[in-house]
Amino acid sequence: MPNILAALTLNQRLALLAFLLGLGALAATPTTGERLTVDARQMAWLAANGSSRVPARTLADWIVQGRADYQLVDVRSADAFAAGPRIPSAENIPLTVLFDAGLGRDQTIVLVGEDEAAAAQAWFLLQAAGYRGAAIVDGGLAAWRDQVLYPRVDGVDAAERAKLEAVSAHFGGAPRIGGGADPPVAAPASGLAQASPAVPKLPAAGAKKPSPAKKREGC
Amino acid sequence: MSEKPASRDPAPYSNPYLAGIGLGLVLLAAFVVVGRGLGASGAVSAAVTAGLHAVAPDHAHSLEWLSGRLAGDERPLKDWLVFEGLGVFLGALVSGLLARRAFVTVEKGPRVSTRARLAGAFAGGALMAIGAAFAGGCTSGQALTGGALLNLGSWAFMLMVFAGAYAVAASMRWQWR
Amino acid sequence: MMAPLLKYGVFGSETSLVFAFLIGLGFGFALERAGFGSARKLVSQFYLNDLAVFKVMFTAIVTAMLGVTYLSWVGVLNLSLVYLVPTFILPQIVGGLVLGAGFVVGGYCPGTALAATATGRLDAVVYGLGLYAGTFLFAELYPVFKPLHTATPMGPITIPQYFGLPYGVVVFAVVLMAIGGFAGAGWVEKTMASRRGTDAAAIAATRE
Repeated sequence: MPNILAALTLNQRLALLAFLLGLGALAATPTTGERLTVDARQMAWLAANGSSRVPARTLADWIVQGRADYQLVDVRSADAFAAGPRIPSAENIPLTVLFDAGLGRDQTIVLVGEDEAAAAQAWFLLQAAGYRGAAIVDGGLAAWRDQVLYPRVDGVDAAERAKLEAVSAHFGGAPRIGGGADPPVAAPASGLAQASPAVPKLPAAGAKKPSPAKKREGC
Repeated sequence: MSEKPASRDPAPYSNPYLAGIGLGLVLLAAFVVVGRGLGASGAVSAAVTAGLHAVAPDHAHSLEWLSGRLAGDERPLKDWLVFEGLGVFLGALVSGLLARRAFVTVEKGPRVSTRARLAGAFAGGALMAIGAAFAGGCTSGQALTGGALLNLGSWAFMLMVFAGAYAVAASMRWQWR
Repeated sequence: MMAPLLKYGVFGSETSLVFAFLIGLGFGFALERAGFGSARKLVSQFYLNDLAVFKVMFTAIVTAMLGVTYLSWVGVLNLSLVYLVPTFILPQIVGGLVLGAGFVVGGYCPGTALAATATGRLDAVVYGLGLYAGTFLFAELYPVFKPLHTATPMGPITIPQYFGLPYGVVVFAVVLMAIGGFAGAGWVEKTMASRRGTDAAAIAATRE
């Protein structure tokens, strides 16, 4: 055997090596990242840790300030997203295509869905796959409606109330007084996508949030 | 017989298979480290965008094909391919100096004038820029990168590049032979 | 699973620019080593005298392809995170033909032109100016080109996916094709050389 190998030129040896590697590759199954390994204790700790929940009012402030260092993702199906109330600036990435969307593993991703449970499912999958910046809106769309769009302002001091009013007007809502009452039914159904022009003191009204710099990866 | 100082002549080229393995490993490094392949034509469009933006920014924004590079607060020259291109320049320079193959000259065949060759170079560059723009890449980005990843469109592109070149080769003999 | 490192957050996109430079260094070095800083050597491919372009390109493709296959097989590389240029089959075919034609006219491709510029080839510099002109022209006339440019989208798709073949089978087939192609290339070079006389054949043999 060594004699045969010795008799080959360099190029022939390279060809033989390539052939053997190619033969081996016949059995190969490339990993496309579908199988996840979950560290149970770490996940439990993350879930119990409050840092993966973003209060609705904090998110509202981020939107008003025009911050571009996070991405708001709505994981409902395209139909549900089109039909139902939405948080402005949310990008619709249905859960089924969440892993094909090119989200960054070190990016802050705020999730909202049909309800909190749906958002939590997406959160778990993303965290398990290594997207350490995933978080959910605390209380989901319901909290958005109750705390941002139609915040209760009874018993709140004047400065706080003015701020709540400004934020809610920014999103097309209005504050309410009184406990237990449901928010006005005449609410704009498709959520709140325009900034109200009557609130000049809030910055970024009408300014589009610059899209998170999409890295160009082509040639 | 007079003695020629052989060490001053340009070194012979490397074994193409070894050079190819080296190139393949560089490409593999790009996949593993950054999750993308090599490229070149993208750096050219980044430079064109930057140049236009400096001279006529509104016009640059109005060009649909390039305006994506100006979105948000992106700087068109802060592009992976631009930095890669700087490296290509330096790497080639080092290799050329080591092999004594770096000298100012015009590459052309024996029967053509320099002016004609330069005209051919310009025309060829313009043609390839358009071809690369349609295809979304050039031989580095599409053929090499897409080839290694078994990209369907890239393989089709690669075959067509060879076909197109062979088809036109005879009519370009005047430049090279 | 750790790679691609950038996508797993090992470093940020700013650092990736440093890697771009380093990778470019290797790219440029390898190109010049292979002799691709010379238009005449590049173009010799298409006159069947020196098939180095074919040999280098396909060796590189096979090397990287095998590397990707094995690394992703053992779970080190997550292949789905490596960017795959989406296929637009019609403009890629047309673009390929145009690029190929331009190759023999211009004598370089964008990457090799950069390498050649570094080693002093003035025609590569002029070629580069042509690249800029062509790119500018494409951008200005984009409304005319757009229908073709965006025609027949197929998304990011690989040959195994399209033909429904196992990935490893396609890899093996490519390796076989390459080895066969290299043997054929050697034969073509020798044949062409012997047509040009025995002196030329001796030179070609020492190049292998």
